[in-house]
Amino acid sequence: MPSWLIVFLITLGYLFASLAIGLAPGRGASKSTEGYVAGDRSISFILLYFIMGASVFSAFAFLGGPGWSYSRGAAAFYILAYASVGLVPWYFFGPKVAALGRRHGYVTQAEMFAHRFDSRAIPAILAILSVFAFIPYLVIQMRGAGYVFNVVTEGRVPEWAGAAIAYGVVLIYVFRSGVLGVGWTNTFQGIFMMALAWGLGLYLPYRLHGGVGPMFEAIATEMPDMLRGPGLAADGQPWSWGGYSSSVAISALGFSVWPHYFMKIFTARDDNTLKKTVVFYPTFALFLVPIMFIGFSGVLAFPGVVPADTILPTIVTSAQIALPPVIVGLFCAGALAASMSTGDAILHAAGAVAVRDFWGNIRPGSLSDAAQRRWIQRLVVIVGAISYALALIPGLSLVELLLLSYGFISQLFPLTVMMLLWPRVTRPGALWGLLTGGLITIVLNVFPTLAWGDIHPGIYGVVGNVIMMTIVSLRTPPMDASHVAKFSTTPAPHPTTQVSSA
Amino acid sequence: MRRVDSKEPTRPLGSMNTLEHASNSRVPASVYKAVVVFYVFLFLALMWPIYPRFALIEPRVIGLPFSLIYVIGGLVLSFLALWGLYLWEEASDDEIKATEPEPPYQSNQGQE
Repeated sequence: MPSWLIVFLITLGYLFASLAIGLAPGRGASKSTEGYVAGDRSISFILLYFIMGASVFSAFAFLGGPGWSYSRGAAAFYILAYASVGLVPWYFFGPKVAALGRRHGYVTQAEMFAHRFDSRAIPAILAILSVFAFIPYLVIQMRGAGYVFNVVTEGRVPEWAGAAIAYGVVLIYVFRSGVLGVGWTNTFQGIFMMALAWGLGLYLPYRLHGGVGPMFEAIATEMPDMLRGPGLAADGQPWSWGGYSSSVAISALGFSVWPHYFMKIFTARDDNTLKKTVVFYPTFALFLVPIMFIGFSGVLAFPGVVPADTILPTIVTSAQIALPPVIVGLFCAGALAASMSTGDAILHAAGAVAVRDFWGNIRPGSLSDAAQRRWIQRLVVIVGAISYALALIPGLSLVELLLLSYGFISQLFPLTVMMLLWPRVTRPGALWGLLTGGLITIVLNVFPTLAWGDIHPGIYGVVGNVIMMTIVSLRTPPMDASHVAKFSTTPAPHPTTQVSSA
Repeated sequence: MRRVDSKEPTRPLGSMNTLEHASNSRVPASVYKAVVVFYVFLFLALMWPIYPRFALIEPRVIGLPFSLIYVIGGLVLSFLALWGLYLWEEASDDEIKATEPEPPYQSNQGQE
C-alpha cells in the first residue's frame, strides 16, 4: 500500500470516529433550545474542560504556534503568557453569571446585557459584531483543514474537497447534537491533540538536535535574538516591547469574553464545575510548550520555509525525518482535530447568537422554542456555507480582519466587569462606551501610524471605552436600584437585600 | 425574548457585597482580595517593564531559555494559586455542611 494511502485512511478513520462520537449524545439532551445551546445546564467538569481547552487550541495553535516560534522565536511566548491569566476572571464572575443565567433563562452573553441594561440595541449590536468576528476565524480553520488533506495525499485531494469533507462531518454533528456534540468530540479531539503534541514536540528536537536542551543551545549560539524576549517581528527584525505587551494584554482581556466561550458559562452543571475548569485550564495551556518546540526544532534544520505556518507539515512529511506513515496519518488527524474542535464551537455559537440575540431582539417573541432551535440549526448550515465560500477565494487575507475582531471583542471586557462591579453604569453609558471603543479600534486599524508605541489598537479602544462609559453613566440618571441589585456584586446605592421577583 | 423571572432560587443570589458571591464559603474576604491582587500583579509581570528584565537566555533551566521558563513559571503559579483557593473553599464548604444540617442553598441541582 502506498504510504499516502495509509495516511489518508488513518485520517478518514479519525473523521469517522469524530462523527460517531459527535452523533451519540444527540438523544441525551432535551429538544428545547436550552438543551441544544446550553446542554440543559448540566455539563460536567471533564466535558467543559475539554470544550474550553480544545476550542482554544485551534488550527492557529497547531499550525500557527509552530509557525510563530519558527519564524519569530520568543514572540510566540505571548500565547503562553495570556493563557496563564486569560480565564481567571471567570473564577470570580462565572458563578454569578451562571446563577443569573439559571434564574432568567439566558443561553447567550448578549441576553444578560440586554436584561441588565434593558436594551434591545446592545444585544443586536453585539450579535452583528460577534458573527462578523466569528467568520474570519472559521474561514481560517477551514483553510487549515483543506491544507492538511492536500499535503498528506500529496495533492490528490484538492484543498476545497478536504475542507468540505472535514466540515461536512462538523456540520452533521453540530446540527444533530448541539453543544453536547461539540463537547464529546472536543474531548476525543483534545486527548488526541495532547498526545500528539507531546509526542512530536519531544521527538522532533531529539531527532534533529539530540534533545530539547541541545536544540536551544544551538539556537542560542546561532541566533540568540530568537530566544530573548520579545523575539522577532514578522519582518525578522527584533519586535517591540509595546507590541509584545499589548498583544498579551488584549488577548488576556478578550479571552474571557469571546461570545462562544462566554456562553459556555451557562452550560456548567454547577459552580464547582465552572471553577474547576478555570483552575485546571493552565494544564491544557501547557500543551502549547511542546508545540513551540516543534517550531524551534525547524529553525536551524529547515531554514527558509515560507509561509512559516507550514513548518509543521513540512517537517512531518520531510524525507529527512522519514516518519512512518502511521505517525504522519495521526499527525494529520491531529491537525484536523485542532481545526474542527474550534470550528464546531464557533459554528454552534454563531447560530445561537444570530437567532437569540439578533432576531430575538428585532422581533421579540416571534419564534417558539422549537422554532428557535430549528432556526439555530439552519443558521449553523448557512454560516458554514458562507465561510466555506470565503475560504475558497484565493488570496483573501483574513489576518487584518481577525486582528480587528480581537479589538472589537475585547470591548466587551470593560462592559462585563462594570456591569458586575459598578451598579451605577447605565444604558447610555454602556452604549457610548462600546461605540467609542469600537470606533477607536477601527480608526487605529485603518491608520496604524496613529497608535503610539506599536500598541494594539484594541488597548486604546478599551481605555476610551472605560472613560466614556464612566463619564456618560455618571451624567445620566441611575437605573432602578432593585433591578440593578440583581446583577451587581457590590452593594447597591440603596441596599435592598430582599430581591424578590421583579 | 423568553425570560423566566419566576425561577427564583431558594435564596437571594449571594450576599451581593463581596467577590465570593453565590458561594456560601467561609474563606475570609481578605483572601479573595489577596488573590485578585496576586493576579493583577502576575498579569503585569508578564509584560513590559517587568518581563524584559527576565526575558534572557541565561540562566538556562532544564535546557530551556530563561525567557521561556519565566512564562511557564507564570502559568504554574497561576494554576497553583487558584487551585489553593479552590481547595480552601471546598474545605470550608464541607465545614458549613457539617455544622448546618440543611444548607440554605446548594448550587442549582433540582431547580429545574
